[in-house]
Amino acid sequence: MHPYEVLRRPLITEKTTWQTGYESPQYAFEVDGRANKQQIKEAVEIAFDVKVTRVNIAVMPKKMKRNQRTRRSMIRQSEWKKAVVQVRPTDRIGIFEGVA
Amino acid sequence: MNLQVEQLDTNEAKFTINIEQAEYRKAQQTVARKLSKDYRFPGFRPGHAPMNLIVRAVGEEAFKYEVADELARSLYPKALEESKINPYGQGKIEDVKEDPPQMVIRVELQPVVDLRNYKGIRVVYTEPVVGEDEIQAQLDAIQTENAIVKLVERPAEKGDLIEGKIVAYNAENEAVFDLEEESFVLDENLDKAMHLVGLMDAVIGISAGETRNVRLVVDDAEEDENLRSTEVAVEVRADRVSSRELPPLDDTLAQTVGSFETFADLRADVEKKLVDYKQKMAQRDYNDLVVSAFSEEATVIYSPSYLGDRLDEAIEDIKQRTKNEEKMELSDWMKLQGFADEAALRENIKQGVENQAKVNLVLGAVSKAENVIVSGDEIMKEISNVAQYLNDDKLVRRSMQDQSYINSIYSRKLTSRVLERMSTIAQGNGDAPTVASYSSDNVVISEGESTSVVEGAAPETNNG
Repeated sequence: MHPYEVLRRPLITEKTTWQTGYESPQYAFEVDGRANKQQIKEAVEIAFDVKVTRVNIAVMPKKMKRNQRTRRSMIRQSEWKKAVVQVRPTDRIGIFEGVA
Repeated sequence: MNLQVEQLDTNEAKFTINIEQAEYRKAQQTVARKLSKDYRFPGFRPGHAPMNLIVRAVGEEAFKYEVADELARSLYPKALEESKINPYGQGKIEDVKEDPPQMVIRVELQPVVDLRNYKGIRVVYTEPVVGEDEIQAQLDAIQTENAIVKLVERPAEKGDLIEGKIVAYNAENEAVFDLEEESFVLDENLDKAMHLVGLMDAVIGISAGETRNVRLVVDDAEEDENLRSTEVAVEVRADRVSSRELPPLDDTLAQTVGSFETFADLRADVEKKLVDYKQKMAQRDYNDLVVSAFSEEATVIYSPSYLGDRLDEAIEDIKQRTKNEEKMELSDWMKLQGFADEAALRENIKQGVENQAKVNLVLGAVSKAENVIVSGDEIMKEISNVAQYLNDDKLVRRSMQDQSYINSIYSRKLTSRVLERMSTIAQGNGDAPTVASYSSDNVVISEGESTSVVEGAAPETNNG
């Protein structure tokens, strides 16, 4: 799997913004569902020129949504994979910068 | 805050406000918090989105001006106070810099009127003269109005009254115009009234019951351009012919036309009315000249918004008038008058509005310089007079509750008083006191209610 196929989008939320301020900053991404920790690490290191020290992954469950009008349950979101990568204290990822 | 004030030639001032870094930062955070609360940012609770995310979302430039707005709320009043400037309307943020924080605000100033040497203005008033010929013309008109009309069996002669009809047809045999009245006097005025050359001569000799068809040329004074100098077929029908016998100018005529005993009384009354009318006209023309002279002498400077506001008022006035009097919307009225849009109408009335605005400012300045005022008592008296004239006792109470009505009376009275004062000055009597009896007493209604004296409304005039 090509490193650039692994990362889908950065996740910028209250929680991830807070995590970027850790001593060893952590950054969250939505990643390809087939990607493993090693591939994610490589992808982040190549894409952002940082040294990744830890990768946590979680498969976020699909969500059932209810149609407001018909009151019928329907699946709106399929499951997706989230990765939280920790980098060295001296490293920063530009796209998250200026958000905190 | 550090303020620099620069006066511009356009009757505006430029505030350059240097802001402390901490103050600017605080304003940025306030704005960010506000925007964060007002808009939803996915992944963040309302009010918790970080500032830089908000800046990225709304755009740097827009955020900068939001911050400037926030700062202007507190800094602009301070700047006005510090510079002692009396603005006309709200200031506009012209430029904002972040490093170091600086804001430039352009402020329009109140119009400035310099009356210059207005005390030295002299305009000669010429007393109107009523000539004997004018009095005679009025008496002749009375004599004609009271002519004794007698039906005659003979053909019509010059000076006769003919009851009948006159219709003009064009080459296509369509009626193009006709006589509105049902009768006409056979004299030279008939040609002018109908715009037909030689009509009187063509009608002379017509008998009752006769119809004449003649071809005549339309004169150049005809309103319809297409008909001017063209030949039309004219049909004249006479139903009845009457002679007109003018009554002698004597006491009997005087007693017939009014409560006069002798012809001399009638003549004196005609002369008095003519003198009054001419004096009124002369005074109006004189006032126009005086206002023009004062306006020419004065230097008036005002900002573009001032004129814009006056134009807005004029357009609103036209809108109201068309709605109330013509019962139509402004857009329809503009189409009828040939204006493509409101911008074209504005352009058309701009010069007149500008002149009027200048005159009003000059009148306002004269009223201040000469301390011309209208007291509450005078306004009250005016309202009472109107109520008495209309025989409406409740009008006084109603009027006292209508501030716009009071303002209009104040404005009218003040204008007429300022014009009087300007006339006095222009006739070289400017050193005389304005009017000794003026006071600024409050308007008091008999039941104990009171309204304050009207102050500050600018006088208005349609002169000039």
